[in-house]
Amino acid sequence: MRLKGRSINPGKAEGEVIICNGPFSMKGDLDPKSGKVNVKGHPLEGKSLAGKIFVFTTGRGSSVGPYIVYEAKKAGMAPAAMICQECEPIIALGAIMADIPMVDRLDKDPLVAIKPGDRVRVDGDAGTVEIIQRD
Amino acid sequence: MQLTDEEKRMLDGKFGAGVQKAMNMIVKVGELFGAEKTVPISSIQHIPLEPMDWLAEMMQDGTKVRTFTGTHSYYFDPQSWKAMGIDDRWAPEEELSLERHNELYRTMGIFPLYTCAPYYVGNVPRYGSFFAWGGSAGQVLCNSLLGARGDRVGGPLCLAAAITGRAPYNGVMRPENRYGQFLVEIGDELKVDEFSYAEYGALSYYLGALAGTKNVVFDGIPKTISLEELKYLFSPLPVSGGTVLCHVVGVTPEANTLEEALHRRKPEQKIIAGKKHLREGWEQLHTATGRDVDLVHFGCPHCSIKEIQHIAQWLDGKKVSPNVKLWIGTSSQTRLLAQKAGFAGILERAGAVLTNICIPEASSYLKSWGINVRVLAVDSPRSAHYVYRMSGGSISIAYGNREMCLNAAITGKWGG
Repeated sequence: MRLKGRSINPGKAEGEVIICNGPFSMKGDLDPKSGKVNVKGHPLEGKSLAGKIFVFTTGRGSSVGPYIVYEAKKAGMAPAAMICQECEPIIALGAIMADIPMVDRLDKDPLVAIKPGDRVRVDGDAGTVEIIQRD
Repeated sequence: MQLTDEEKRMLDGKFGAGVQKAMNMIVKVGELFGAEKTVPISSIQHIPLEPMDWLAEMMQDGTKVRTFTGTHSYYFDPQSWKAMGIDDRWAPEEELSLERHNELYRTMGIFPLYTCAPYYVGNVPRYGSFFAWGGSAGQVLCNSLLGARGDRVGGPLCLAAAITGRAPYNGVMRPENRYGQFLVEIGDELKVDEFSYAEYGALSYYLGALAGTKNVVFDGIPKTISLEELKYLFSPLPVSGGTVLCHVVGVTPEANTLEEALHRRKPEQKIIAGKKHLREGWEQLHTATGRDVDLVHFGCPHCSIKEIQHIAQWLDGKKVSPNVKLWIGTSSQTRLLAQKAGFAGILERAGAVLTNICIPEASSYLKSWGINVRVLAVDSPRSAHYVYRMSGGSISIAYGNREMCLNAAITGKWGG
Protein backbone atom coordinates (compact mmCIF):
# COMPACT_ATOMS: atom_id res chain seq x y z
CA MET A 1 0.00 0.00 0.00
CA ARG A 2 1.20 3.49 -0.84
CA LEU A 3 0.08 6.72 0.87
CA LYS A 4 0.58 10.15 -0.65
CA GLY A 5 0.93 13.37 1.32
CA ARG A 6 2.98 16.51 1.83
CA SER A 7 6.75 16.67 2.19
CA ILE A 8 7.89 18.43 5.38
CA ASN A 9 11.57 17.53 4.96
CA PRO A 10 13.20 15.61 2.10
CA GLY A 11 15.23 12.40 2.36
CA LYS A 12 14.44 8.68 2.24
CA ALA A 13 14.33 6.14 5.03
CA GLU A 14 13.06 2.63 5.65
CA GLY A 15 12.37 0.96 8.95
CA GLU A 16 10.06 -0.49 11.56
CA VAL A 17 7.08 1.58 12.68
CA ILE A 18 6.47 2.88 16.19
CA ILE A 19 3.21 4.72 16.88
CA CYS A 20 2.12 7.34 19.39
CA ASN A 21 -1.63 7.83 19.21
CA GLY A 22 -1.53 11.47 20.36
CA PRO A 23 0.54 14.66 20.23
CA PHE A 24 4.23 14.25 21.09
CA SER A 25 6.59 16.77 22.70
CA MET A 26 10.25 16.16 21.90
CA LYS A 27 11.19 18.31 24.91
CA GLY A 28 10.30 16.32 28.00
CA ASP A 29 9.00 13.16 26.30
CA LEU A 30 12.23 12.10 24.53
CA ASP A 31 15.65 11.51 26.08
CA PRO A 32 17.97 12.50 23.22
CA LYS A 33 20.95 10.52 24.54
CA SER A 34 19.19 7.15 24.57
CA GLY A 35 16.44 7.84 22.01
CA LYS A 36 13.96 6.48 24.57
CA VAL A 37 10.73 7.83 25.98
CA ASN A 38 11.49 8.19 29.67
CA VAL A 39 8.24 9.61 30.99
CA LYS A 40 6.31 7.56 33.57
CA GLY A 41 2.82 6.70 32.36
CA HIS A 42 3.53 7.71 28.74
CA PRO A 43 2.04 5.22 26.23
CA LEU A 44 5.56 4.71 24.80
CA GLU A 45 7.30 4.58 28.21
CA GLY A 46 10.61 2.73 27.94
CA LYS A 47 10.41 2.36 24.14
CA SER A 48 13.12 3.64 21.80
CA LEU A 49 12.46 5.81 18.74
CA ALA A 50 16.04 5.37 17.47
CA GLY A 51 16.15 4.26 13.83
CA LYS A 52 12.36 3.75 13.79
CA ILE A 53 9.71 5.30 11.59
CA PHE A 54 7.81 7.39 14.14
CA VAL A 55 4.09 7.86 13.46
CA PHE A 56 2.11 10.28 15.65
CA THR A 57 -0.77 12.76 15.45
CA THR A 58 1.13 16.05 15.76
CA GLY A 59 3.75 17.83 17.83
CA ARG A 60 3.13 19.87 20.95
CA GLY A 61 5.03 21.68 23.66
CA SER A 62 8.16 23.72 24.17
CA SER A 63 9.76 25.86 21.49
CA VAL A 64 13.14 24.25 22.22
CA GLY A 65 11.84 20.82 21.10
CA PRO A 66 13.74 21.01 17.78
CA TYR A 67 17.04 21.18 19.70
CA ILE A 68 16.19 17.82 21.29
CA VAL A 69 15.54 16.21 17.89
CA TYR A 70 18.87 17.57 16.66
CA GLU A 71 20.73 16.22 19.70
CA ALA A 72 19.11 12.80 19.25
CA LYS A 73 20.20 12.80 15.59
CA LYS A 74 23.80 13.70 16.52
CA ALA A 75 23.79 10.89 19.09
CA GLY A 76 22.50 8.47 16.43
CA MET A 77 19.31 8.02 18.44
CA ALA A 78 16.75 9.94 16.36
CA PRO A 79 13.86 8.37 14.45
CA ALA A 80 14.85 7.46 10.86
CA ALA A 81 11.76 9.29 9.59
CA MET A 82 8.61 10.92 11.00
CA ILE A 83 5.00 10.75 9.85
CA CYS A 84 2.29 13.04 11.27
CA GLN A 85 -1.40 13.45 10.63
CA GLU A 86 -0.92 17.23 10.59
CA CYS A 87 2.36 18.75 11.68
CA GLU A 88 2.70 22.02 13.63
CA PRO A 89 5.62 24.48 13.36
CA ILE A 90 7.71 23.16 16.26
CA ILE A 91 7.88 19.54 15.10
CA ALA A 92 8.42 20.67 11.49
CA LEU A 93 11.42 22.73 12.64
CA GLY A 94 12.77 19.66 14.43
CA ALA A 95 12.68 17.62 11.21
CA ILE A 96 14.25 20.45 9.21
CA MET A 97 16.94 21.21 11.79
CA ALA A 98 17.95 17.57 12.29
CA ASP A 99 17.40 16.79 8.59
CA ILE A 100 15.06 13.84 9.15
CA PRO A 101 12.68 12.81 6.33
CA MET A 102 9.15 13.79 7.30
CA VAL A 103 5.69 13.77 5.69
CA ASP A 104 2.18 14.72 6.80
CA ARG A 105 -1.37 15.18 5.37
CA LEU A 106 -1.45 11.66 3.88
CA ASP A 107 -4.45 10.62 1.78
CA LYS A 108 -5.23 7.90 4.36
CA ASP A 109 -5.02 8.44 8.13
CA PRO A 110 -1.55 7.06 8.99
CA LEU A 111 -2.72 6.07 12.48
CA VAL A 112 -5.25 3.71 10.89
CA ALA A 113 -3.45 2.61 7.71
CA ILE A 114 -0.10 1.91 9.39
CA LYS A 115 0.28 -0.60 12.23
CA PRO A 116 3.00 -0.89 14.90
CA GLY A 117 5.69 -3.26 13.67
CA ASP A 118 5.03 -2.63 9.94
CA ARG A 119 8.08 -1.96 7.80
CA VAL A 120 7.57 1.17 5.74
CA ARG A 121 9.56 3.25 3.30
CA VAL A 122 9.25 7.03 3.67
CA ASP A 123 10.13 9.24 0.72
CA GLY A 124 10.39 12.78 2.08
CA ASP A 125 11.11 14.17 -1.41
CA ALA A 126 7.91 12.82 -2.97
CA GLY A 127 5.88 12.99 0.26
CA THR A 128 4.98 9.30 0.12
CA VAL A 129 4.87 6.33 2.49
CA GLU A 130 4.96 2.73 1.27
CA ILE A 131 4.09 -0.21 3.52
CA ILE A 132 6.52 -2.92 2.44
CA GLN A 133 5.97 -5.61 5.06
CA ARG A 134 3.32 -6.41 7.64
CA ASP A 135 3.70 -8.86 10.55
CA MET B 1 6.48 32.21 -1.17
CA GLN B 2 7.51 35.51 -2.70
CA LEU B 3 11.19 36.28 -2.06
CA THR B 4 13.10 39.53 -2.52
CA ASP B 5 16.29 39.50 -4.60
CA GLU B 6 18.36 39.64 -1.43
CA GLU B 7 16.48 36.70 0.09
CA LYS B 8 17.05 34.70 -3.11
CA ARG B 9 20.77 35.46 -2.88
CA MET B 10 20.78 34.30 0.77
CA LEU B 11 19.06 31.08 -0.31
CA ASP B 12 21.60 30.59 -3.13
CA GLY B 13 24.48 30.76 -0.65
CA LYS B 14 25.87 34.14 -1.77
CA PHE B 15 26.18 35.21 1.89
CA GLY B 16 27.77 31.95 3.03
CA ALA B 17 26.62 28.52 4.18
CA GLY B 18 25.30 29.65 7.60
CA VAL B 19 23.03 32.33 6.12
CA GLN B 20 21.88 29.84 3.48
CA LYS B 21 20.86 27.32 6.17
CA ALA B 22 19.01 30.03 8.07
CA MET B 23 17.17 31.30 4.99
CA ASN B 24 16.28 27.74 3.99
CA MET B 25 14.63 27.28 7.40
CA ILE B 26 12.68 30.55 7.06
CA VAL B 27 11.44 29.64 3.56
CA LYS B 28 10.53 26.05 4.42
CA VAL B 29 8.56 26.99 7.53
CA GLY B 30 6.95 29.90 5.67
CA GLU B 31 5.82 27.68 2.80
CA LEU B 32 4.60 24.84 5.03
CA PHE B 33 2.41 27.18 7.06
CA GLY B 34 1.08 29.34 4.24
CA ALA B 35 3.05 32.61 4.50
CA GLU B 36 3.15 34.45 1.18
CA LYS B 37 6.17 36.56 2.12
CA THR B 38 8.62 37.40 4.87
CA VAL B 39 8.83 40.64 6.88
CA PRO B 40 11.79 42.45 8.48
CA ILE B 41 12.31 41.56 12.15
CA SER B 42 13.51 44.25 14.56
CA SER B 43 13.95 42.30 17.79
CA ILE B 44 15.02 38.75 18.60
CA GLN B 45 15.02 36.77 21.83
CA HIS B 46 17.27 33.73 21.37
CA ILE B 47 16.94 30.69 23.66
CA PRO B 48 20.52 29.75 24.61
CA LEU B 49 19.93 26.00 24.87
CA GLU B 50 20.87 25.19 21.28
CA PRO B 51 23.31 22.35 20.60
CA MET B 52 26.84 23.71 20.01
CA ASP B 53 27.27 21.68 16.81
CA TRP B 54 24.22 23.30 15.31
CA LEU B 55 25.35 26.78 16.32
CA ALA B 56 28.70 26.05 14.64
CA GLU B 57 26.85 24.97 11.47
CA MET B 58 24.87 28.20 11.48
CA MET B 59 28.07 30.23 11.95
CA GLN B 60 29.80 28.79 8.88
CA ASP B 61 31.45 31.46 6.70
CA GLY B 62 31.42 34.09 9.43
CA THR B 63 27.66 34.48 10.00
CA LYS B 64 26.64 37.54 12.02
CA VAL B 65 23.18 38.52 13.18
CA ARG B 66 21.48 41.24 11.16
CA THR B 67 19.09 42.46 13.83
CA PHE B 68 19.08 43.20 17.58
CA THR B 69 19.35 39.85 19.34
CA GLY B 70 19.55 39.08 23.05
CA THR B 71 19.57 35.81 24.97
CA HIS B 72 16.78 34.29 27.03
CA SER B 73 17.51 33.10 30.57
CA TYR B 74 19.63 30.00 31.17
CA TYR B 75 19.65 27.29 33.85
CA PHE B 76 23.00 28.24 35.38
CA ASP B 77 24.34 31.56 36.72
CA PRO B 78 28.14 31.93 36.98
CA GLN B 79 27.74 34.76 39.50
CA SER B 80 25.39 33.17 42.00
CA TRP B 81 26.00 29.40 41.92
CA LYS B 82 28.05 29.45 45.11
CA ALA B 83 25.45 31.39 47.08
CA MET B 84 22.76 29.08 45.69
CA GLY B 85 24.60 26.13 47.22
CA ILE B 86 25.46 24.33 43.99
CA ASP B 87 28.05 21.60 44.53
CA ASP B 88 31.43 22.90 43.28
CA ARG B 89 32.08 19.67 41.39
CA TRP B 90 29.50 20.84 38.86
CA ALA B 91 30.16 24.54 38.55
CA PRO B 92 33.41 24.48 36.48
CA GLU B 93 31.80 22.30 33.80
CA GLU B 94 28.73 24.55 33.60
CA GLU B 95 30.84 27.70 33.57
CA LEU B 96 32.95 26.36 30.73
CA SER B 97 29.93 25.37 28.66
CA LEU B 98 28.34 28.80 29.17
CA GLU B 99 31.60 30.59 28.31
CA ARG B 100 31.91 28.57 25.08
CA HIS B 101 28.43 29.71 24.12
CA ASN B 102 29.23 33.31 25.05
CA GLU B 103 32.32 33.31 22.85
CA LEU B 104 30.25 32.27 19.84
CA TYR B 105 27.55 34.82 20.70
CA ARG B 106 30.14 37.63 20.85
CA THR B 107 31.46 36.59 17.43
CA MET B 108 27.94 36.61 15.99
CA GLY B 109 26.89 39.88 17.64
CA ILE B 110 24.32 38.38 20.03
CA PHE B 111 23.92 40.27 23.34
CA PRO B 112 24.23 38.14 26.50
CA LEU B 113 21.12 39.54 28.23
CA TYR B 114 20.20 36.17 29.79
CA THR B 115 16.73 37.15 30.90
CA CYS B 116 13.19 36.09 30.08
CA ALA B 117 12.03 39.69 30.68
CA PRO B 118 14.41 41.61 28.38
CA TYR B 119 11.87 44.43 28.05
CA TYR B 120 13.20 45.63 31.44
CA VAL B 121 16.77 45.87 30.16
CA GLY B 122 16.79 47.13 26.60
CA ASN B 123 15.11 44.69 24.24
CA VAL B 124 11.78 46.40 23.56
CA PRO B 125 10.12 45.93 20.17
CA ARG B 126 8.25 49.04 19.07
CA TYR B 127 4.46 49.19 18.49
CA GLY B 128 3.60 47.69 15.11
CA SER B 129 7.11 46.30 14.48
CA PHE B 130 7.83 42.59 14.06
CA PHE B 131 9.68 40.45 16.57
CA ALA B 132 10.73 36.79 16.83
CA TRP B 133 11.10 35.73 20.44
CA GLY B 134 11.60 32.37 22.00
CA GLY B 135 9.73 32.06 25.29
CA SER B 136 5.96 32.34 25.37
CA ALA B 137 5.75 34.82 28.29
CA GLY B 138 7.74 37.38 26.31
CA GLN B 139 5.74 36.69 23.14
CA VAL B 140 2.41 37.41 24.79
CA LEU B 141 3.69 40.57 26.56
CA CYS B 142 5.22 42.07 23.40
CA ASN B 143 2.10 41.38 21.35
CA SER B 144 -0.35 42.53 23.98
CA LEU B 145 1.22 45.37 25.97
CA LEU B 146 3.68 46.76 23.42
CA GLY B 147 1.52 46.16 20.33
CA ALA B 148 4.51 44.67 18.51
CA ARG B 149 3.79 41.64 16.32
CA GLY B 150 5.26 38.20 16.66
CA ASP B 151 3.90 34.73 16.06
CA ARG B 152 4.52 31.56 18.08
CA VAL B 153 7.86 30.42 16.77
CA GLY B 154 10.28 27.66 17.69
CA GLY B 155 13.76 28.28 19.10
CA PRO B 156 15.71 27.58 15.89
CA LEU B 157 13.50 29.89 13.83
CA CYS B 158 14.42 32.82 16.10
CA LEU B 159 18.12 32.31 15.37
CA ALA B 160 17.37 31.93 11.65
CA ALA B 161 15.43 35.22 11.85
CA ALA B 162 18.34 36.87 13.66
CA ILE B 163 20.75 35.76 10.94
CA THR B 164 18.55 36.70 7.96
CA GLY B 165 16.71 39.62 9.59
CA ARG B 166 13.47 38.11 8.22
CA ALA B 167 10.66 35.79 9.36
CA PRO B 168 7.57 34.32 7.68
CA TYR B 169 4.56 36.68 7.81
CA ASN B 170 2.09 34.53 9.70
CA GLY B 171 -0.52 34.36 12.45
CA VAL B 172 -0.88 37.43 14.68
CA MET B 173 1.80 39.27 12.71
CA ARG B 174 -1.07 40.00 10.31
CA PRO B 175 -3.38 42.75 11.64
CA GLU B 176 -6.49 40.87 10.50
CA ASN B 177 -5.61 38.02 12.89
CA ARG B 178 -5.33 40.23 15.98
CA TYR B 179 -8.99 40.38 16.99
CA GLY B 180 -10.12 39.06 20.37
CA GLN B 181 -11.76 35.64 20.22
CA PHE B 182 -12.10 34.61 23.84
CA LEU B 183 -13.74 37.31 25.98
CA VAL B 184 -13.28 37.32 29.75
CA GLU B 185 -15.58 39.64 31.68
CA ILE B 186 -14.41 40.14 35.24
CA GLY B 187 -17.43 39.35 37.40
CA ASP B 188 -18.48 41.66 40.26
CA GLU B 189 -17.56 39.08 42.90
CA LEU B 190 -13.86 39.37 41.99
CA LYS B 191 -12.10 42.30 43.68
CA VAL B 192 -9.40 42.61 41.01
CA ASP B 193 -8.16 45.96 42.33
CA GLU B 194 -7.02 44.08 45.44
CA PHE B 195 -5.54 41.11 43.54
CA SER B 196 -2.07 39.84 44.41
CA TYR B 197 0.22 38.58 41.66
CA ALA B 198 -0.73 35.04 42.66
CA GLU B 199 -4.44 35.79 42.21
CA TYR B 200 -3.95 37.35 38.78
CA GLY B 201 -1.78 34.35 37.92
CA ALA B 202 -4.16 31.65 39.15
CA LEU B 203 -7.16 33.18 37.36
CA SER B 204 -5.22 33.46 34.09
CA TYR B 205 -3.86 29.94 34.46
CA TYR B 206 -7.41 28.62 34.71
CA LEU B 207 -8.64 30.72 31.77
CA GLY B 208 -5.63 29.95 29.53
CA ALA B 209 -6.61 26.29 29.31
CA LEU B 210 -10.11 27.26 28.15
CA ALA B 211 -8.80 29.79 25.63
CA GLY B 212 -6.45 27.29 23.93
CA THR B 213 -4.68 29.21 21.16
CA LYS B 214 -7.37 31.91 20.88
CA ASN B 215 -6.63 35.63 21.33
CA VAL B 216 -7.95 36.65 24.76
CA VAL B 217 -9.69 39.89 25.77
CA PHE B 218 -10.03 40.92 29.43
CA ASP B 219 -12.78 43.43 30.20
CA GLY B 220 -13.03 44.87 33.71
CA ILE B 221 -9.35 45.10 34.70
CA PRO B 222 -8.48 48.38 36.52
CA LYS B 223 -6.74 50.95 34.31
CA THR B 224 -4.18 51.41 37.10
CA ILE B 225 -2.85 47.84 36.71
CA SER B 226 0.97 47.85 36.93
CA LEU B 227 3.45 46.35 34.48
CA GLU B 228 4.26 43.69 37.09
CA GLU B 229 0.60 42.76 37.53
CA LEU B 230 0.18 42.57 33.75
CA LYS B 231 3.14 40.18 33.63
CA TYR B 232 1.23 37.85 36.00
CA LEU B 233 -1.99 38.30 34.02
CA PHE B 234 -0.38 37.49 30.64
CA SER B 235 2.30 34.93 31.35
CA PRO B 236 0.16 31.95 32.54
CA LEU B 237 -2.05 32.02 29.41
CA PRO B 238 0.49 30.25 27.14
CA VAL B 239 1.37 27.80 29.94
CA SER B 240 -2.01 26.15 30.38
CA GLY B 241 -2.92 27.07 26.80
CA GLY B 242 -1.27 28.59 23.72
CA THR B 243 -2.46 32.21 23.65
CA VAL B 244 0.00 34.68 22.13
CA LEU B 245 -2.11 37.87 22.23
CA CYS B 246 -4.22 39.21 25.08
CA HIS B 247 -6.01 42.56 24.90
CA VAL B 248 -6.96 44.34 28.14
CA VAL B 249 -9.73 46.87 27.55
CA GLY B 250 -8.66 50.38 28.52
CA VAL B 251 -5.09 49.26 29.16
CA THR B 252 -3.37 47.74 26.10
CA PRO B 253 -2.87 49.80 22.93
CA GLU B 254 -5.15 47.88 20.56
CA ALA B 255 -8.04 47.81 23.04
CA ASN B 256 -9.17 51.36 23.81
CA THR B 257 -12.68 49.94 23.73
CA LEU B 258 -14.13 46.42 23.82
CA GLU B 259 -15.37 46.85 20.22
CA GLU B 260 -11.86 47.75 19.06
CA ALA B 261 -10.37 44.70 20.81
CA LEU B 262 -12.94 42.44 19.12
CA HIS B 263 -12.52 44.14 15.71
CA ARG B 264 -16.26 44.77 15.97
CA ARG B 265 -17.03 41.03 15.80
CA LYS B 266 -18.89 38.85 18.22
CA PRO B 267 -16.45 36.94 20.47
CA GLU B 268 -16.24 33.22 19.63
CA GLN B 269 -16.46 32.38 23.32
CA LYS B 270 -17.30 34.37 26.44
CA ILE B 271 -16.90 33.72 30.14
CA ILE B 272 -17.74 35.74 33.25
CA ALA B 273 -14.79 35.14 35.55
CA GLY B 274 -15.69 34.45 39.16
CA LYS B 275 -14.35 33.17 42.44
CA LYS B 276 -14.72 29.53 41.46
CA HIS B 277 -12.40 29.98 38.45
CA LEU B 278 -9.80 31.66 40.62
CA ARG B 279 -10.07 28.89 43.21
CA GLU B 280 -9.84 26.16 40.59
CA GLY B 281 -6.70 27.67 39.02
CA TRP B 282 -5.16 27.96 42.47
CA GLU B 283 -5.96 24.34 43.34
CA GLN B 284 -4.47 23.07 40.07
CA LEU B 285 -1.21 24.90 40.85
CA HIS B 286 -0.89 23.94 44.52
CA THR B 287 0.34 20.34 44.62
CA ALA B 288 2.15 20.28 47.99
CA THR B 289 0.52 18.25 50.75
CA GLY B 290 2.77 18.77 53.80
CA ARG B 291 3.84 22.02 55.50
CA ASP B 292 7.62 21.90 55.05
CA VAL B 293 9.08 24.17 52.36
CA ASP B 294 12.64 23.72 50.98
CA LEU B 295 12.91 26.47 48.39
CA VAL B 296 11.09 29.76 47.76
CA HIS B 297 11.45 31.37 44.35
CA PHE B 298 10.30 34.70 42.88
CA GLY B 299 10.97 35.84 39.35
CA CYS B 300 9.29 33.64 36.76
CA PRO B 301 9.24 35.78 34.61
CA HIS B 302 12.26 37.66 36.02
CA CYS B 303 11.61 40.30 38.69
CA SER B 304 11.70 44.03 38.01
CA ILE B 305 13.62 46.39 40.29
CA LYS B 306 10.27 47.35 41.86
CA GLU B 307 9.59 43.75 42.85
CA ILE B 308 13.10 43.44 44.30
CA GLN B 309 12.56 46.66 46.25
CA HIS B 310 9.35 45.29 47.79
CA ILE B 311 10.95 41.96 48.70
CA ALA B 312 13.98 43.74 50.22
CA GLN B 313 11.73 46.05 52.27
CA TRP B 314 9.75 43.10 53.57
CA LEU B 315 12.92 41.13 54.45
CA ASP B 316 14.85 44.05 55.97
CA GLY B 317 16.12 42.89 59.39
CA LYS B 318 14.64 39.37 59.01
CA LYS B 319 16.43 36.07 58.37
CA VAL B 320 15.62 33.28 55.95
CA SER B 321 15.23 29.98 57.81
CA PRO B 322 18.37 27.78 57.74
CA ASN B 323 16.20 24.99 56.30
CA VAL B 324 15.05 27.06 53.33
CA LYS B 325 16.62 28.68 50.29
CA LEU B 326 15.18 31.91 48.92
CA TRP B 327 16.10 32.66 45.31
CA ILE B 328 15.05 35.82 43.51
CA GLY B 329 15.30 35.57 39.73
CA THR B 330 16.17 38.71 37.80
CA SER B 331 18.47 39.84 35.00
CA SER B 332 22.11 40.50 35.87
CA GLN B 333 21.55 44.14 34.82
CA THR B 334 18.73 44.54 37.35
CA ARG B 335 20.87 42.78 39.96
CA LEU B 336 23.54 45.45 39.38
CA LEU B 337 20.91 48.13 39.91
CA ALA B 338 19.76 46.36 43.10
CA GLN B 339 23.36 46.47 44.34
CA LYS B 340 23.66 50.21 43.66
CA ALA B 341 20.26 50.92 45.23
CA GLY B 342 21.20 49.01 48.40
CA PHE B 343 18.58 46.24 48.04
CA ALA B 344 21.14 43.54 47.25
CA GLY B 345 22.88 44.13 50.60
CA ILE B 346 19.60 43.83 52.53
CA LEU B 347 18.75 40.61 50.68
CA GLU B 348 22.20 39.14 51.26
CA ARG B 349 22.05 39.90 55.00
CA ALA B 350 18.66 38.20 55.13
CA GLY B 351 20.09 35.13 53.39
CA ALA B 352 18.32 35.55 50.01
CA VAL B 353 20.11 35.10 46.70
CA LEU B 354 19.70 37.22 43.56
CA THR B 355 20.19 34.97 40.55
CA ASN B 356 19.50 35.17 36.81
CA ILE B 357 18.63 31.48 36.34
CA CYS B 358 15.46 30.22 34.71
CA ILE B 359 13.88 28.15 37.50
CA PRO B 360 11.95 25.68 35.28
CA GLU B 361 15.13 24.90 33.30
CA ALA B 362 17.24 24.70 36.47
CA SER B 363 14.76 22.41 38.25
CA SER B 364 15.86 19.35 36.26
CA TYR B 365 19.47 19.89 37.41
CA LEU B 366 18.87 20.58 41.12
CA LYS B 367 19.29 17.00 42.28
CA SER B 368 22.56 16.49 40.39
CA TRP B 369 23.85 19.81 41.78
CA GLY B 370 23.34 18.49 45.31
CA ILE B 371 20.26 20.61 46.05
CA ASN B 372 17.43 18.56 47.44
CA VAL B 373 14.02 20.16 46.95
CA ARG B 374 10.77 18.42 47.74
CA VAL B 375 8.58 21.50 48.05
CA LEU B 376 8.98 24.76 46.14
CA ALA B 377 6.93 27.81 47.17
CA VAL B 378 6.09 30.29 44.39
CA ASP B 379 3.57 32.94 43.38
CA SER B 380 3.99 32.27 39.66
CA PRO B 381 1.91 29.78 37.65
CA ARG B 382 4.75 29.36 35.15
CA SER B 383 7.26 28.07 37.68
CA ALA B 384 4.54 26.08 39.49
CA HIS B 385 3.46 24.33 36.28
CA TYR B 386 6.86 23.67 34.73
CA VAL B 387 8.88 22.76 37.83
CA TYR B 388 6.24 20.24 38.92
CA ARG B 389 6.26 18.62 35.47
CA MET B 390 9.96 18.90 34.60
CA SER B 391 10.89 17.31 37.92
CA GLY B 392 8.56 14.40 37.10
CA GLY B 393 6.44 15.31 40.14
CA SER B 394 9.37 14.88 42.56
CA ILE B 395 9.10 18.60 43.42
CA SER B 396 5.63 19.62 44.56
CA ILE B 397 4.44 23.20 44.69
CA ALA B 398 3.16 25.42 47.49
CA TYR B 399 1.31 28.13 45.56
CA GLY B 400 0.47 31.36 47.33
CA ASN B 401 0.86 35.12 47.28
CA ARG B 402 4.16 36.89 47.87
CA GLU B 403 3.55 37.38 51.60
CA MET B 404 2.72 33.67 52.10
CA CYS B 405 5.91 32.72 50.21
CA LEU B 406 8.05 35.19 52.19
CA ASN B 407 6.61 33.88 55.46
CA ALA B 408 7.49 30.36 54.38
CA ALA B 409 11.05 31.53 53.67
CA ILE B 410 11.36 32.86 57.24
CA THR B 411 9.65 30.01 59.08
CA GLY B 412 10.32 27.04 56.79
CA LYS B 413 6.62 26.20 57.02
CA TRP B 414 3.72 26.82 54.65
CA GLY B 415 1.04 28.80 56.44
CA GLY B 416 3.28 29.06 59.49
